[in-house]
Amino acid sequence: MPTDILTSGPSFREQHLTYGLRWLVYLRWVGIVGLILALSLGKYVLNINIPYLNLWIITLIVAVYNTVFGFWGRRAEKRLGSGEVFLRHVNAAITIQIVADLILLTWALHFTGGVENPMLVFYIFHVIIVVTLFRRSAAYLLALLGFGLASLLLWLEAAGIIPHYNIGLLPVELYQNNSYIFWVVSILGITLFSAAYMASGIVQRLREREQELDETRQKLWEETRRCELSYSELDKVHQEKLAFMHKVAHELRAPLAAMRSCLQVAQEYYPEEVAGKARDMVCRAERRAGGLSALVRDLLNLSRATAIPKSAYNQRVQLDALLLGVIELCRPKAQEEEIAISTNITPEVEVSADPQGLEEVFTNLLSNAIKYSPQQTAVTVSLELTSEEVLISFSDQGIGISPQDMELLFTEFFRANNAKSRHVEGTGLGLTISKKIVEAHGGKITVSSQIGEGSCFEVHLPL
Amino acid sequence: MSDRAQIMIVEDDADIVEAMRIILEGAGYQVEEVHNSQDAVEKLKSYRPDLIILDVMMRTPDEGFQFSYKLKNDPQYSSIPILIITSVAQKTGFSFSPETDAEYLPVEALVEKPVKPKELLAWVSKLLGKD
Repeated sequence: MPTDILTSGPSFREQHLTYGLRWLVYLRWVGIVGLILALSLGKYVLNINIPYLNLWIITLIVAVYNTVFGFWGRRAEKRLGSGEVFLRHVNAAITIQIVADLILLTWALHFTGGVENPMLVFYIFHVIIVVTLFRRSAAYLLALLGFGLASLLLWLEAAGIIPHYNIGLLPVELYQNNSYIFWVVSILGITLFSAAYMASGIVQRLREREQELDETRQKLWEETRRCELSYSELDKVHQEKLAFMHKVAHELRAPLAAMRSCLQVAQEYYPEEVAGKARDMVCRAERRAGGLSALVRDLLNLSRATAIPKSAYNQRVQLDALLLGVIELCRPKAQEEEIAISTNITPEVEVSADPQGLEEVFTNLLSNAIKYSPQQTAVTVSLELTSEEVLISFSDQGIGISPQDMELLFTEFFRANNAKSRHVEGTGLGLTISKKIVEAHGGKITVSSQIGEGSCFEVHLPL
Repeated sequence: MSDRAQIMIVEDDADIVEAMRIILEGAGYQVEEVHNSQDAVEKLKSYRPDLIILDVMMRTPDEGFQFSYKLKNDPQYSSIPILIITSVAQKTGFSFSPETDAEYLPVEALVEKPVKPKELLAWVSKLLGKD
């Protein structure tokens, strides 16, 4: 969709009028060239005897004001979109030019034979131009002006009030022949008014369409603005909710930490007072508090993954080193479960990323691989570099994921049935967090798995 | 100074203080507690601990950080080791290691809450130089 349609720029009316102004100046240059050629032809080829000096002066006057309006028009285009006052200025400029044109045309007709000169019909050009630029009434006014000026000229010449310049195309007496002059003036009047009527009919319909288009454009622009506003309001609410979740999660951590500290002390420092069934119950409470603590931590991570600023993703990160660090961190747990971690890591791989976020992702995926693997199996961690991306994969020989669970794998709080039945603790948020972090990096996580054979999680990061 | 090491706990959560007190006193340390950094400053005028265990979020979210910074910049106290125990490392994305961040936060160690009794004792004896 072209964006200029959506900005509240100059209206069609403004564009149309400034275009009209430019067009008028251009047409007038064509007219001036035509006039120069005609005068040269008359003087040097046809040897017609008319007052050439006066006609050159008229040509010069037209050329001067055309130059002035040409410059004015070019400056006016830079003020497009400045509203009503600007429109009035352009309107006035066009009107002044057209009226000046008609007066000078009449004046030029006077020096070129008056009623003898078929150029009498040239008034029609201005009527048509005015129809395309202004309202219908303006075209009638202009037809009236043209008709009036021509009638005045022919009457003044016929009455002998001003001289008649004979160009020798028609019998001399004609300019004083009242019935001939009546016919010429009548036909000219009919031509001008008919032209105004017919042309304005066509233009009217075009203008209505234009108006509709203009209104539609305005509406579209307003709608777009409204959508943008709603979006930014929604985004604000979303950010506030995230901040609230963050605060709540954090507020939950402090009492949980205190509870766990007290329960741990009860277990370890009061073996006589807390014995037998009481000890078992305290252990259970401590374990559940631990689970809750992990959940709260994951909620914090989730809100952090969603709210982290873009700038955090632009740090240079040595991926191989980061990955080896994560492997070392998980190794004790793997050794406990007799799980071997084998690695295939390309050295010296550097990306722009958020190191803490990626560490979280790798830790999640590797500890999942370890958690859901039977004893004495292997987990393989590899880091590969292709021309487009970095691929980090974690594959295990664990319990695997069923096809129906695969679809829900990255949903909040989802835990696969075979994962729950293994009595492995988990919050169901790890993969959601990982997915958000990787997606914020412009990457993706893919999974392939076979029930009972193992799973492979692949992190694709763009280079 | 008695031969038992003196530890000052600066922590506003009375339950955590109580749990740590039991652990530390059980291991033979002498424990003093204060509940904010201002009281800690007062306390330090008449008492010199061998180690300070410090919480971060007290009356303000970074009170503990500010306090540790002040102590480490005061020659009178800068030699007292500080163990920060906090849940803030996760919240701010602030990860601490003495090698890289000592300029920013000159404390000897930063541990995440809750600390298991054995871990706490291990850190304390490490910082007291008994390892």
